[in-house]
This record gives sequence, structure tokens and C-alpha cells, in this order.
Amino acid sequence: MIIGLDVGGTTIDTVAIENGKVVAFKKFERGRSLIDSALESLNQFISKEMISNLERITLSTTVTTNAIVQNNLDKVGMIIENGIGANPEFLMCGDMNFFADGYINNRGIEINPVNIESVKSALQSFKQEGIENLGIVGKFSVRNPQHELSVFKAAKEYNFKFVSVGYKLSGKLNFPRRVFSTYLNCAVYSTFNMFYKSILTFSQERKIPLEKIFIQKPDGGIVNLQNIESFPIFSILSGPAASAQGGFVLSNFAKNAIIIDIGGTTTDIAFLSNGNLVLEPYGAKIGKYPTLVRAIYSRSVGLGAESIVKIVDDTVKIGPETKRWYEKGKNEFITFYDVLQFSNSCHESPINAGLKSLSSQLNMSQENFCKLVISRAVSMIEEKIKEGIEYINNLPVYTINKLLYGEKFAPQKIILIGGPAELLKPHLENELKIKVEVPKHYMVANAIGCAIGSISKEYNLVADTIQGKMVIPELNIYQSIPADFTIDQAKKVLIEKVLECREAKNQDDVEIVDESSFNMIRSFKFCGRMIRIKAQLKPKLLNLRD
Amino acid sequence: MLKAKNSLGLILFPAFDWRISPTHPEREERLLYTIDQIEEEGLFDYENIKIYNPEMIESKYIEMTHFCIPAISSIVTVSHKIAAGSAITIAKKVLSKEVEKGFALIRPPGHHAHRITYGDRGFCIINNEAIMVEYLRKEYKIKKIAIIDTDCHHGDGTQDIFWNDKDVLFISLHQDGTTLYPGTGFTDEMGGPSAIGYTLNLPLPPYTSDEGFLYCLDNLIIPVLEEFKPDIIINSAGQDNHYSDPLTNMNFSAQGYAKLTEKLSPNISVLEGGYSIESALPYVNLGIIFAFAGIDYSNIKEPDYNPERLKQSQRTTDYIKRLCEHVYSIWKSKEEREYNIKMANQDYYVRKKSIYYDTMGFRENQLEKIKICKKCSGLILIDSLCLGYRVLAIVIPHDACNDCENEGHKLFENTEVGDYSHILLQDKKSFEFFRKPL
Repeated sequence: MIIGLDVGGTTIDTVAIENGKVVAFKKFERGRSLIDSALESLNQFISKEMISNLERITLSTTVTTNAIVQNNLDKVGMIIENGIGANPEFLMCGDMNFFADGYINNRGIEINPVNIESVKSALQSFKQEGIENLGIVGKFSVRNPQHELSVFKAAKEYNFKFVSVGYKLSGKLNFPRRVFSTYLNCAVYSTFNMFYKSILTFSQERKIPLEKIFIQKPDGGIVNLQNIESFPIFSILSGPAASAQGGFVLSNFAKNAIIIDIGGTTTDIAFLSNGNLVLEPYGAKIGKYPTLVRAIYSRSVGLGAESIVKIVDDTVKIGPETKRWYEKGKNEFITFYDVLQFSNSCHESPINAGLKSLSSQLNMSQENFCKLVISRAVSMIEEKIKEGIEYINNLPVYTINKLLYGEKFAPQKIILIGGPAELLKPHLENELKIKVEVPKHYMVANAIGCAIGSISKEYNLVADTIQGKMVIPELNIYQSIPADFTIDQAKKVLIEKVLECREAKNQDDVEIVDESSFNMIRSFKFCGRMIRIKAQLKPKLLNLRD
Repeated sequence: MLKAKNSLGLILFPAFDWRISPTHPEREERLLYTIDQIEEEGLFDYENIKIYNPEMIESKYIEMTHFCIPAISSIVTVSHKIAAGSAITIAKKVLSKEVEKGFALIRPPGHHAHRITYGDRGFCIINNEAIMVEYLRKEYKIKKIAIIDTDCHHGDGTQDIFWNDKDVLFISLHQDGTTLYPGTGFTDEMGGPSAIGYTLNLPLPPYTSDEGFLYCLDNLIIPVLEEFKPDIIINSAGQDNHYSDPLTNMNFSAQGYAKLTEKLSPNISVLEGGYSIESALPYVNLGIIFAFAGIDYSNIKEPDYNPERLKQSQRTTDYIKRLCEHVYSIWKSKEEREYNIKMANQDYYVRKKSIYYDTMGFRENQLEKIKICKKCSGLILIDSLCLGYRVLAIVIPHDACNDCENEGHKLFENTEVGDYSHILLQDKKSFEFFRKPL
């Protein structure tokens, strides 16, 4: 049995899946304390029988995201080796920042060494200021992490509580994002640790081994709670990932589609292109920080079932403010859900007084007023869909082949999930002139998405035969290669290494998604090859049978 | 998200799957490290730096710029079409005000491609900037255009195309033609009879450093631009003046390129040459992009940058000073020179040209005749011999008077194919292209 739990803005959704079938689900009201109410919901949901044949529990939570948004963060000291490039002042995200000298170039060659003595005195002053979390980041460290590692080594004698090095967070190039990701990874440490400890207590109380507890990552993958301890940042923004994945699975693995999840407070839109969920090219943006945290690309609209409908300057405004039903005085507020319901049934209901008052302000009938509100909401969604499609189709390409023959993303349908999906469906279909599918279990699709998540990862191999070196930053591999190393050998090695690290079970799980080999010419002579391979684990999502 | 001072549009098209030959300087690896540097610098994250994919150019714009012999389809490759298309894409983005400035980092380059082109010269087949100019005039009705060519090689192709066109001011800074390909670009090349002084050449001695380039900018280019008052400034941004470039002998640095870009402040730059792909391009391109976007570039220096070692000699400094004075005097005396030349050549102004195709190893011989006309810049007739072809190329200029226009069409109609393999007419006034035999 697999159990998924998704903490949303309004509710906590839980689901149990057994033999590819949804056997139980429940929505819980979210209370004031996020961790407490999540664990309480889980406690209520999980019966003894479930535990006896439990395969895993996957949690999707907003604990760390909230900590960042609410600026509830630990103090962090940052050692940044900026090298050549932009003026580094904008990178001063830590509470104390030290810019180390030293430079590693784009091929991973050391140009200037790092001055460890000056770093040590910076570490000393971090400690004196009571800073316990340390981030270490260097430019081009994913091509050669030597400088980050020597700072890491030097930091050992100062006994920081938590230390994070940039190159381990992602194999992608993007120095500012590496700095911000490392900083955030350190800054959410205490929050995550608190969450971690609560789950630990829960697992002990309910006698669920920790190996069975997983966290949903923002790229749709899942990671064991124990493995995420050094990377608390990977637990951010899991909500959109859960809903995108849920929609994907429930619609029987469509090829090109848009997945729309209409929740209580927001509507999240994800894109499915050629059978894969579209990812952010570099990573998620968290609060004000762009990061390298791999994430599903999604657009969000401040529009949900509980969005308040108002009239401002003679025009209809929906959201982003929300009111929950129990907070709402009778007839006091009209929410988007009320409008959808009225439009669907036109029945007299307690909301009519409120609706009447709003529609009369615009001299309209209630029916027409509802039409107007819905059409306004649909166009808010449509705008984001268009933005997303344009964005995906304009992602830079670097080869003639891709420019001329690359497939353009053209969605065939919308997969609509979330509480009000059934009510919204006809309106989306009519106005956007596209097939809209509301799958079974649309109410708890996110929890299903969270439950069925699989391990998803990307690997970048860069081999430079002049230097005789090969790096796979994601697997922490930096090793020598012969001068006649070829692209075919590189592909083989990459797959082997992924298998060795037990991140894939067999060769077919690893897919090469990008490959190139450049002849390197120095003084008009061939002197080596620059080989670049990108591979990914093929996500293996559970096939639901109903 | 980060925000730059100026909004900037970029086309980054390294054409990773195209090359001339495996060891050719213009090869797949050329922009690889630049893209790495740009990615690592997080340039894609600046909210007002926008990256665009290039479009494929329409043949019409090639036809209105070049006479491709034997035909566009047989000499112009897909990658050349994309490079020229990039120039058009970036022009659209700037002219529609989607961005304030634009920079197309593309390959292959184009500034050695002449009006008549039989193939590859200096890695160029069609002229990216010249095609963009035709596009800007046709689609945006832009009149006065300045092209500043900062590639280390003389921009002979661009010079040829706008030789007799007063609306296009062409200034080229380059390593002295006695020491470098293509061996042209001396101060006495100053334009055709109707555009004397609108072609200005600054042949610089080998080992000119930042100081020399910036001197030319402050003391010649910027004053001339202020007087010419162009509607748009285009930079043919070759990056082979760099001290580490393997094909040239200059001492320009990334800091120098950034300062030059900041001072010149072109509306659009298009990458030309630059073959120090590892030691120069990542830093030079980043410097130019930062200068364009108004981001502080003071921290962008090549790892081995040493301004003392790159200092130019006093002799070079003195020479460049005299050179700028001389070229400025050409600019100042352009009306007088035009009058003299038109008096001396009553009917047609004739020049013989011999153009060497270095990458392909053949030579073209041309006889170019420009009509001396009081009402317009004059009809152009070119008789070209190369590779067994004989071409009669007729150009009706944009500003053509009715007489020149009619004469051009009559000549096209009445000339029998006979000895010619191609009779071609470019009517720039009506934006039409005609060929014989069909």
C-alpha cells in the first residue's frame, strides 16, 4: 500500500493506493500549525491494517516554502568564490558573506588558487557572530569542486551545525542560482529539522520504519526522508509537482496536454509535452530567489474556489483574497465557487442575496453576472496558458536541427483536477475550444500524484580529453579518462555509473536526452574532445487501474 | 529576479551541429565556452534580458542585397540563412521596442560577402548586416544607417555593398591591410562618386591596444556619428582584435570591447569574427553584453589580463592620432571631393576590381560602372567574370530617379543573353528582382 498526503493552501488531502487502485481517500481541514495538522491527518487516516502492508508514505508539504516566504530563516554565513564576471554584490544573500579569491574557469581548470588562510579568518568571524550554518559556493564548481571542497575541509575545525556545498545541489551551470540555492538550503535547516523530528516521533509512535517515509520533490520525484537531510531545500514547492503528476497519471499518461489544478486559493497550470512534464530550465524560483532546485514548470493564478468576487471601479475582480466557508458570514461574501454553483444550477440558495447585490451594481441579471465572472476567470487562466506555451516554444535551441525540425508544443487537451473541476469544465471547454477531461478522483489528484511519485533525476557528464578528466557532478564523480575517450564510451560510462550508484535498476531506466562532442582545436590542430552528455532517469509512475 | 539597466535582446545561436571542416577556425566549438560563461553568469535570469531563437531568412531579402552566382540555392547553406535571419529577428525586436538594444551572437559571420557572391570568402557567403539594412529600409522605412565594423579584418563586403550609398555610413576599424586578409581597407577607399566620404577606413597598426581603439572612437567615430545623425547604429562586432586571437595581431581586451560598446552604444550588434574561442570569446562576449545592458563590467577580465604587457608603442599612438586627423579631413571635405569626382567623370565612374575567394582559392574580376547622375546616386552596372560564369548585374538604387530606373529596366530587357550566363536586375526602389535566363 502507498499513502500520499498533500498539504494544500486550504485542505490536507490523503489517499491510499493498493494494487494500482485508490482504496481510500479523505480531505482534512488544515489547522493553524502546518506540521501538527499534517501529522494529525495522517494519524487519523492511517489504520493499523494499512501499516501492516505499507510500501511507503509520501508527503508533500509546504513547510520549507512557508519558512522562506515568511522569512523564518536561520542565520547563514556564505563563502563565495566569485571569480570573473558580474560584480558580486548582488550575491550577498547570507547574514555574513565573504568573497574568496581564486578562480576555476569554464573547463574546470584552476586559474587562481583559493586563499585558505583568509577563508579561515572569515569562518572565525562567522562563528563569533553566532552563525551556525555555512554555505560554500564557487564559480564553475560543477566543473571542478576542488575549491569548494578545500573550504569545506577547512570549515570542519569550526564545528558548524550545518554546512552545504554548492556543487552538490545541481550539475547545471548558473552561479547566482547556485549561490542562492546553497544559501536557502542552509537557511531552512532548522525548520526542516523540526519537521524531520516530528516525523521521526510519528514514525516511532506508529512503528513505521523511516525508510518507508518519502518526501515529494518539486520535480515530481520523491526522495527518502533520510536522504534529504543534507538537502532540505529539495522539499520546497512540492504542491504544483504533486498536482501535475496526479493529473498526468489520472489521464492515462497523455502525450501533449495542459494540466490545470483548481484549488481553494490558486490555480496551478503545468504542461505535458511529448509525454514528459515540462521542467523549469534551471530550477524553481523560491520567494525572491531563483534557484537550481529542479522543478516542474508551472504557472500559478491567484484564482480558486474560495477567491472573493468583488466589484472594483465597475469591473469584476476575482481574488487573490480568499475566504473560507466557515469564516464567511451569511451572504457577506461571494466566492468564485458560489458563482460556479449558481451558474450550474441557477437554484435559489442562501447566496442569492449577495449575488443580487453584486449583479445589481453592474445593472445585470444574476445569470449574466455569473457568466461575466466565469468568463473573466477563464481568461485569467487562458492568459497563463498562453504565457506557458509561448515560453516553452521559445526556449533557446543551439542546433540547426532543433531549430528547423524541433517539435513545437501544441496541447491536445486540458486535464482538469481539483475540487471545482466538474463545475468549471463546461466553461473552459466552451471558451477555450479545447477538449477538457476531468478524470476520476479529480478531488484528490494531488494526493495521488504525491503517492505515485517516482525517483526522478538528471545527470550531466562533461569530459575533456585535453585535461583527461571527466565530471558527473550529480554523482560526485571526478575522474581521469584516456586521451582517446569517445562519446560512445562516455554514454556507456554514464549509464554504468548511474547503475553503480543504485539510482537505476537496469539500463533501460536511464535515458540519454542530450549528447554532443566537440573537436577541440588549438593552434589549428586537433588536440582533444569536449564531450557532453545529459541523461535522466525515466520516471516510472504507477499505472492506476481505475 | 535580477534586472539590468537597459533591456537587451540576445540571439544565442552557436549552431553546434554545423562546421566547414573539423579543424576550421569557424567550427562547432566556437561559441561553446561563451555559452558556458553566459549560463554560469546567470544571464538568462535577468528579467529584461531576453533570449530569442532566430528565424530563417526569406530569399527575397538575400536577392535584394546580393547577386548569388550561380543561385542562392547552390551557394547559401542553411546555417548562413539562419545567421542572416538572426540579424532580422533581432532588428524586429529592437524596432518594435520589445527591447532597447539587440545583440546577435551567431555564426557564421558575413562581412566579407560582396554584392556579387560566388561562395565563401573569409568564412562569409552572405552579408548578415547588409541584409538587415535592406530589411530595415523596406519594412521600417529607416533612412540613415551607420555601420561601424570593429572586426579585425576589413569589412570589404559591407563596404562594397554600400559603396555608393550616402544613406549608409560605413566605418571600418581593422588591422592594416598590408598585414592581414583581405588586404583592403585603406584610407583612400572612401566611397563611390555619389557617396564620397560615407565609407571611412581606419587601418590600424598591429599591436594596437585598448588605448588606440578608444582613441579612434572618441576622436573620429563619435564626432562623425554626431554629424551624420543616423537613425540607427549597427555594430559589426568582430572579436578578433583580442590579444589572444590566433588569426590576427592586435592587443584589444575584454575591458576594451566593453568600453567600446558602452561608448558607441549601438542599437544592434551582430557578431562577426573572433577565433580565440577559449581565452577571449567568453570574456569579450560577456563584457559586451554587460556593457549593452548597463551592468557593471569592471570585474570581467581575462584570467591572464595584464594591461602593462598589452600597452601600445608611442609610435602607434602617434600614428593613430595622425590617422584620425586624416580620416576626419576626408569626412569634412566630402562635398568638395564629390564635386571634383563628378566633374572629372562626366558619364560613368568606372573601377576594376579583382576579388580573391580565400577559402575557395579562386578569383573574380569585375568591371563596375556607376552612372554620374545629377538627380540620384546613379545606376550601377557590374560585369563580373568568375568560375566560367559571366554576369551582368544591374542595380537600381533606392533613391533612383525615373531616368536611371527606366534605363536599368531597358538595359535588362534589351541585353541578349549571348555571352552572359546571368543577367540580373536588382530594383531596390521597387524592391523587385529580375533574372535572365529564367
